[in-house]
Amino acid sequence: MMGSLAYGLDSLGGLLAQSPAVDAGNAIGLEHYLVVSAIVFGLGLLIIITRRSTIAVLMGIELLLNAAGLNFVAFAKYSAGAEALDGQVVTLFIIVIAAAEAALALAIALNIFNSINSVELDDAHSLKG
Amino acid sequence: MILHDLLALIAALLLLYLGTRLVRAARDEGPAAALDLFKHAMRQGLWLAIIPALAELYHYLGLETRLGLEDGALRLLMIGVFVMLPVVLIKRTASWVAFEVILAAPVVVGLLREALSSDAFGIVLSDSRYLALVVFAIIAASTLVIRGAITGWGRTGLGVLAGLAIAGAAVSLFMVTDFEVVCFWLTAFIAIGAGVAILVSDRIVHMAFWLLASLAAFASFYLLLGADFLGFTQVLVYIGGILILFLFGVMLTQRVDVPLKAAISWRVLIPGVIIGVLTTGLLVFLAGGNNWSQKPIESITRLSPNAGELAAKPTAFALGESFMSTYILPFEVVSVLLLVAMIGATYIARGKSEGDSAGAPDGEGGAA
Repeated sequence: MMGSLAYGLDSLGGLLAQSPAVDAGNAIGLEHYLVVSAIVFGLGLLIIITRRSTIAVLMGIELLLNAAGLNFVAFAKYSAGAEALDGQVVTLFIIVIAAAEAALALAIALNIFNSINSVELDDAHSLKG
Repeated sequence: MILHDLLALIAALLLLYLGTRLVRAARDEGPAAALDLFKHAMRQGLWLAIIPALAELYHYLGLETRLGLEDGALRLLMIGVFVMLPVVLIKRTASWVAFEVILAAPVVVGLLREALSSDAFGIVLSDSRYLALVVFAIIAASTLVIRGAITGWGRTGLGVLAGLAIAGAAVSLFMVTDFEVVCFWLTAFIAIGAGVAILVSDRIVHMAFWLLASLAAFASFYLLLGADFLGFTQVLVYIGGILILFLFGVMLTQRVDVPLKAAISWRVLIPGVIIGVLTTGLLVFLAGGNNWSQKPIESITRLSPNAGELAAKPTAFALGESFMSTYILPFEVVSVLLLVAMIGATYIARGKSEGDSAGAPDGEGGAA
């Protein structure tokens, strides 16, 4: 039985070996990264829409920023005529700005909590006409 | 090496001793007694002696060379597997079992490949790919296990993790022609899965930990794309900084007396979800269906031990140069922005001082 199994695996291996293994259809390309980033962007958007807590909404925003950054790096690597480093530089700026944004937004959330004792977005309506 | 011979002998004797004790107990008093004896032995710290000895035994039997691993690596892995084993047997919680499964999976894969004589597949994995796969599996597992240990994940988590381990083993056994491909799919799975988990989880601390998994997956993406400096910056700034900030935010603003998930009205939820799903679909359609102008695939740098000329190179030096030349203006602007944000955040979030009679901070008075 072991022999027949080994034979079957041998023939399977032969099939796999015949395909020009690495580069043809199997390799990861630009579209893979773009699709993943689009899905994560959509998830972030859904989180922003469906959550009411300020902090949860900020998490959604972080996902959006990450998805955008991934796009920059992927385009820089795969796109024709792009310098690889330019995309990385832009993504580094995104990370820096995201850090600043998170610090400020959380400080604001803390302040809102101190004054209305809640971080739910719907409760912060004192400016509503 | 006489030391190895001795240690291997000790290991064999120890195992023989424990084995006979166990078999005798099982024969005379039943399997439950044997299990108790085993637990007792493990609690007594017998495994502290067994594990290094076992590692030496493996070394002595030449398993490392048979698995095609570096000398120390498999031994470390084996030690890991066997250190975890008693913990798993005693604790018997799902997350520990899952950890053990994932830790042991590469070893099992290696043994299977050895047994099936993998050369027949026309695929030759180099050693470093095994190592990288092992490291990846351990990182992924420990992230999930930390999460499981904190929140108590139960059988579902065990099933998911075991499925992941088995799928990873199967993939690496049959399909792997390229380490980069496996890493991409695993990372994509973690990134999207963690995003979905953030979306559906009902506690905000759980969301923060799933955000950790998602951010780590993005760091992994950056590394896969050859952006090493960016990947580690992501870990430092996002995971080390922003996520901790989030956790502090959660800690300082949660009230225990109010349930987190106040019901959101369908009037808002339905159009929101429709818009979100449509946007996602549109983006995916644009990303996948557009015919982007791409570099020829032969000229793209790769993350592979045998990439040769096309291997991804370190980027830190070049990045530093371009920050100081091409991007000097944005760089300075961003540094000023960071300073402003730091001062602003400190000012906004500062507690009310004792003498501060006018509740909210009022511009000049507070800034002075």
